[in-house]
Amino acid sequence: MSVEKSNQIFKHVLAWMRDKNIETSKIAIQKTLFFLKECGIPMRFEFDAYTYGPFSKQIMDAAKELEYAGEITVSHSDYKLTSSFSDTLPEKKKTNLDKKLNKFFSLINGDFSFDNMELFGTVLYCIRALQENGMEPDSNDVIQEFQAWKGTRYSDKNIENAYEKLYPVFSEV
Amino acid sequence: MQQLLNPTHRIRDPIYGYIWLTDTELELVDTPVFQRLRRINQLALTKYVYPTAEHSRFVHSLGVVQAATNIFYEVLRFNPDIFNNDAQELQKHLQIVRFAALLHDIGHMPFSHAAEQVFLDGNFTHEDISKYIIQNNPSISNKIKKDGIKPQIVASLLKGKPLKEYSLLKKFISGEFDADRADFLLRDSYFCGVKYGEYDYIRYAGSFRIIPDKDRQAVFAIEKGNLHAVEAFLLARYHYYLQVPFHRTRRGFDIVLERYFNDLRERGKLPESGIKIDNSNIDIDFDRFQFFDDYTVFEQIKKDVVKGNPWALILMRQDRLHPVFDTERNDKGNENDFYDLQERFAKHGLKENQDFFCFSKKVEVHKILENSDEMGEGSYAVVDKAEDNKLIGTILDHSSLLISTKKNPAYIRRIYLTSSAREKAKQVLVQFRKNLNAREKRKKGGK
Repeated sequence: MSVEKSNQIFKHVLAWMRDKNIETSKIAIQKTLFFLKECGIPMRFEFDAYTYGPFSKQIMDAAKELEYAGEITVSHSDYKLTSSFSDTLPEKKKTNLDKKLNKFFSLINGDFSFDNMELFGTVLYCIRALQENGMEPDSNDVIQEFQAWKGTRYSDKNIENAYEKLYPVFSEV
Repeated sequence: MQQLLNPTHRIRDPIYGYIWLTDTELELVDTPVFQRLRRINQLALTKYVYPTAEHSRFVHSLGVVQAATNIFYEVLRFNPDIFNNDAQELQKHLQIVRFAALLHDIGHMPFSHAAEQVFLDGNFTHEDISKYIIQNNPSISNKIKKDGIKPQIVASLLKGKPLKEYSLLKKFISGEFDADRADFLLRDSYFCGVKYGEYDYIRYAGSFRIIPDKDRQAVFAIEKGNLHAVEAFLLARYHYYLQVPFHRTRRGFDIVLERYFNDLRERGKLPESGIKIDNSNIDIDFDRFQFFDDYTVFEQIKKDVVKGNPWALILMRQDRLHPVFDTERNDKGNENDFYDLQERFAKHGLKENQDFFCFSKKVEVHKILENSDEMGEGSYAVVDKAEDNKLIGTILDHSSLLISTKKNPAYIRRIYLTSSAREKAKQVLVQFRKNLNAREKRKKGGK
C-alpha cells in the first residue's frame, strides 16, 4: 500500500464526513481511520496509543501534504476542506469503504464527539491489544485494560457499552 | 546502580567498548535467522560513497541492545520508582527491552529499505516481518519463552499494540528518542568516517524523566537541563540524514536499486525470499529466508551484468546516474524549475524512470517539531528538576534553536540522467541553463 493510496483513503473519509455533515475534527478522522484499518483496509498509517487513544502521526503528515497542496486547511483541532479538494478514490473502492464507514456510523450512533471518539477508539485498541497477546477478552478484561490507560474518566458502563458494540465485529484477530 | 541482569558474554565494539549479552541473548544471536543479519549491509550502497560503510545490521542490532540498556538504567537512576521499584519486575522489563532491541531488525530485507516495496508488496514493512519471526520462528520464540517472557510482548514493542503495562518500554525501542536512533547515528557516522551524526551520547542517555500525563499515566519527558543534549541529538540526526541517506550520489544508487528490483519483478526474476504474502497474511519459509541476503541479490546482479542490464551495471559500480539538477533550499524556491526541466526532458523524448529520474524530499530537523495531537498540543514535555520535575511546557516552548529551524525545512530536489541519455539531453540542458542565467541577470538588473 503506497503512501498515495493511503492518502486517497484519508481524503475519502474527509469527503464522506463532509457529505454526512459530520465535523471533520482531527479526532474523528483519526479514530475513523483506525476503525477502517482494524477492519482490514490496507493503509500505511500506523497507530500508537497516545494522549486520546490510538493515534497516527502519519495522518498528521498526510494532512500537511494536503494543506501544502491547497486541498484543506488545518486548524487547532480540525480540518476544513477547500474548493480545491477532490476525492480521488476509485469508485469501486468507495463502495467497499462506505460500507465500513456506515457500519462505524451505526456502531457509534453517529456520535463523533471528542469523548465518544476517545472512548470507542481506546476500547477498540484495548480489544486488539489483548487479542494480540493471546486473549479472548471479555468486558471485564477490556475495562481493566482501558482503566490502566485512562484511569476512571469513563464509567465502566460506557466502556462496557462500547465493548458490546465493537467486540462482535472484531471477535477474531 | 544495581545490576538487574548479569550478562556474562562480552563482545568488542568500537562504539561502546564492550556489548554484554546474557546466555539466552547469545543463543538468539547464534540462530541462522539472526546470523543472516551479518549479510545485510546497514547502509545498503552507501559504501559506494563512503568506502568504509561496510557494517551490517548484525552489529547495529547488538549496539541497540547496549544503547537501550544504557538509557533504561539512566531512566531508572532518575526515576527509581518505575515498575514499583520491584527488582523482579525491573529485571523482566529490562529483559523485554533487550530482546526487542536485539531483534528489532531481524526482518530486514537485503539492501534494507529499497527492497521492501517489491518483496513485501508494499503492504508490509520489515517491522511486520520482525514481528512474525519473533512469534513464529521456534528457534527465536522458544528461547524468549524459556526466560519466562511471551514473544508477543516483545513483538508488540516493534509493531502492533502493546498492553499498557509495557507501553513505556516501546519508547526505548521505537519512540522519537529511541535506542535504535541513538545507536545508528553514532555507528553509521563512525563507519562512514563522518562527524555528522555525533552527539553527547552519555548526557543524552540521561536526559529523560518519567512523569504522569493528564490520565496520571507514566510518559517520557525531557529534563530542562538536558535540552542542549537533545537539541544536539536532533541536529546530528538532521545533518546525518542530509549527508548520508540523502547524499546525492547515494540517493542515485537507491533510485537504481528500486528500478532494478522493479525490472526483476517484471522479468519474473526476483530472487526467492521465502516470504509469502497472501490476503494480507504473512508466511515465511525459514529454511529459505535464512539465506535471503545482500549476497542473494548480488548473485542476480552479476548474472545481469553479463547480459548487459544497464541497472545491474550501475549496481556493480561500473556506471552511475548523473545529477543534472540538484537544489537544497530552505524554502519552496526552485520547485518550478524542477518541474520545468522534467517537462523539457519529456518533450524531447526522454522517459522518466528510464532516461531520467526525479527525487524530491522535504527534510525537517525532526518531525516532533511539527507533530501535535488531536487538540493541537505539541509533543515532548519538558520538566524542571529545580522544581521537583514539574512540567514546564513542551520542547518547542524551551528551545529557540529548534523553533528557528522549524520555520525553514530543507527541500531537496534532484534530477538524474543515465549515461546513455546524457547526449540526448545535452541541448535541453544548455537551453535550460541559459534561461536560468538570463533570469538571474534580469533579477540583478532589476535590483
